[in-house]
Amino acid sequence: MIRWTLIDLAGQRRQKEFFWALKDVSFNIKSGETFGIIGENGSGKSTILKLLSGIILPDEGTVSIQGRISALLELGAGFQPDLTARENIYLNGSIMGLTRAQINTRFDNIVRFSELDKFLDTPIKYFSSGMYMRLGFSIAVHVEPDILLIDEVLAVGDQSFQHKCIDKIRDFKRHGKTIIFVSHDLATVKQLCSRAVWLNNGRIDSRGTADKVIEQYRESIQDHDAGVLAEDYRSIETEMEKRWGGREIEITRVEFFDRSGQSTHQFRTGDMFRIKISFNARHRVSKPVFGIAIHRNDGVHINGPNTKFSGEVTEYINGSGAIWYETDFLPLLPGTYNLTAVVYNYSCDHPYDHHDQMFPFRVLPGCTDEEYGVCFIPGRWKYEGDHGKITS
Amino acid sequence: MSGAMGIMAKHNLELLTNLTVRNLKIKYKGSFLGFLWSLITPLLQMLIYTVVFSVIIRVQVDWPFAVFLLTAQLPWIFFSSSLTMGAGSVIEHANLVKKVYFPREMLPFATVLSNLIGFGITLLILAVFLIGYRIPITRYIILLPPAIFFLFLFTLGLTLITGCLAVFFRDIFHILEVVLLFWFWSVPVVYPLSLLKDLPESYQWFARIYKLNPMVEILELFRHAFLYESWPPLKHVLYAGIWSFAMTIAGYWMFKKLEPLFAREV
Repeated sequence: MIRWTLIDLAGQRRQKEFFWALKDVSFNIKSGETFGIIGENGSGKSTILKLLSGIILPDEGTVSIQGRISALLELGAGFQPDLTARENIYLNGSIMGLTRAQINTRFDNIVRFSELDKFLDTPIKYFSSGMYMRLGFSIAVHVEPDILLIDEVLAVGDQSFQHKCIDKIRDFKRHGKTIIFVSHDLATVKQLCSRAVWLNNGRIDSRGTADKVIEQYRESIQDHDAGVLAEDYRSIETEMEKRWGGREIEITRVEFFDRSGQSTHQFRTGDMFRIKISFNARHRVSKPVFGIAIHRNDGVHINGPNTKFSGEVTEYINGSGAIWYETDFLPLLPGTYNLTAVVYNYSCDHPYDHHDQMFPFRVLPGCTDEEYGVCFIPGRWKYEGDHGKITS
Repeated sequence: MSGAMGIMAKHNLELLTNLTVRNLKIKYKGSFLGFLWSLITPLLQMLIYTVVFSVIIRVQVDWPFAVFLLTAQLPWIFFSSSLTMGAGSVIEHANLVKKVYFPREMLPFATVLSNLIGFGITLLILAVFLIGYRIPITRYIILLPPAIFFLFLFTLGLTLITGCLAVFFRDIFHILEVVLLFWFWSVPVVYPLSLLKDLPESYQWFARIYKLNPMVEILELFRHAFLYESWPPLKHVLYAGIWSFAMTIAGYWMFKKLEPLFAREV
């Protein structure tokens, strides 16, 4: 569909090489449908959105659209840093095709949604990137389009604003608007979309219901991913800034194992989770304290158990050995986490060996549909008073 | 929505207004003297030219030199600054062009419009000088609106061309600099057109080529409006008018032709 060339007005092609960013990509989206497009970086997802929004035209093939489109390709594109939020709302609104009267009627909603009422007359160059994004998203969704194109934008802002964005998108769905959603965030795609396509190198690899496409996509990246994480792990071993200590005891290896005893870097919520920390003590060391810590890859500290808290300190160690840490039920929600493995003296003021957040592992969706927060607490709900069961 | 009708759509007009106002706000925001700069710069320029051409070189004109100069210098400043700023108008908004669809001709269009407003303000300088030298406003002033209109169209057309060419060739900025330098000296701004009449017979071919330049007639229209106390020959007005419209149409056509490639090349 799209061919990238360098044009030369003199009529000569300076560069003859080109590649097809998209080829043989055809799909229909019905009005009112929420449609997902998934795929690796560079697979052509964003090109599709640009074609749909008219930013670029196909070299071959056609795009036909009925209704007004609003594209959230990049929040706040066209914001003027020197102008105030108020001025930018009007400017951005008109770039998106609204008249002044239309912006006036939406103005209060835009401001309320963005939660920036206190900063309306502040030049937006003083805004944080989060505020910037909030304003951008808020304007874009209040254009009230028939078709909304969304490209990865939900990856911005804090958690509560992200939920607000998702709620707003659900709102669109309820009002029968058509949504085309491009994202890496498979959980959100799964949640929002009924159908999806999986793009791979500019071609459609799989299409159908969102659940089916996502499952196929997941399987393919899992094989690939396990390799990448293992790679990370190896390269990180040489990274010395994240490791310190007197080395009286050396942590020589850290491995993750699943229930069947298979070494892995991928777990599912609720899986059995086992860590083996191999060590070598040059000479006899008494009462060493082993510990671990788990951080999510955005730095959130999850926990930090050690053998002293658990009353499992040994009298001494000597030579090489290993210590296991296990849990039958990994309560972490999907994401990437980094493990810290340490060994300290008994008063925990001298590190023998400290490997800080050096061992990554990944958690995939497992025993729960929950998605907010960090961990799954296996709780229960109970009703009191007059209530009925849903029978379907 | 593209096509000539698209420009006239209400939300596009408002986009144009917003972009124009934005250009003006940004131009003066944060500077101490603000919009006074749009008066100071031409005034200083006028001062230099007046010293050079009426004191040192002593070009003979029938009016106070400052007034004579301003009548053509102010339109010229509008023309050249629109062209230069307009050339950057699309590529400076690369981010916008890549991420949002809107009629892109609004970018150079808004540049020209905001310059036109600046031009309107500088006409105040001219007014002050006219009053100061007690040069009366005559009925020939009705030539001013068509003069501005032609100048605007001609500038807009060329700006659309420089704006889209800059997307593909950054060289355009250097070329423009040279072209504008040549162009400035080949129009009667600092010297009167009448000097050409005094050319010897063997140089008349040069005068004929010189007058092919549409900016000559456009700038002369301004002097007719303020100073000459005579009507310009109709064919000169038509010549300027036809060029102006043709330039706008050609510029718009070219811009729209290349617009689909902007998002990739910018």
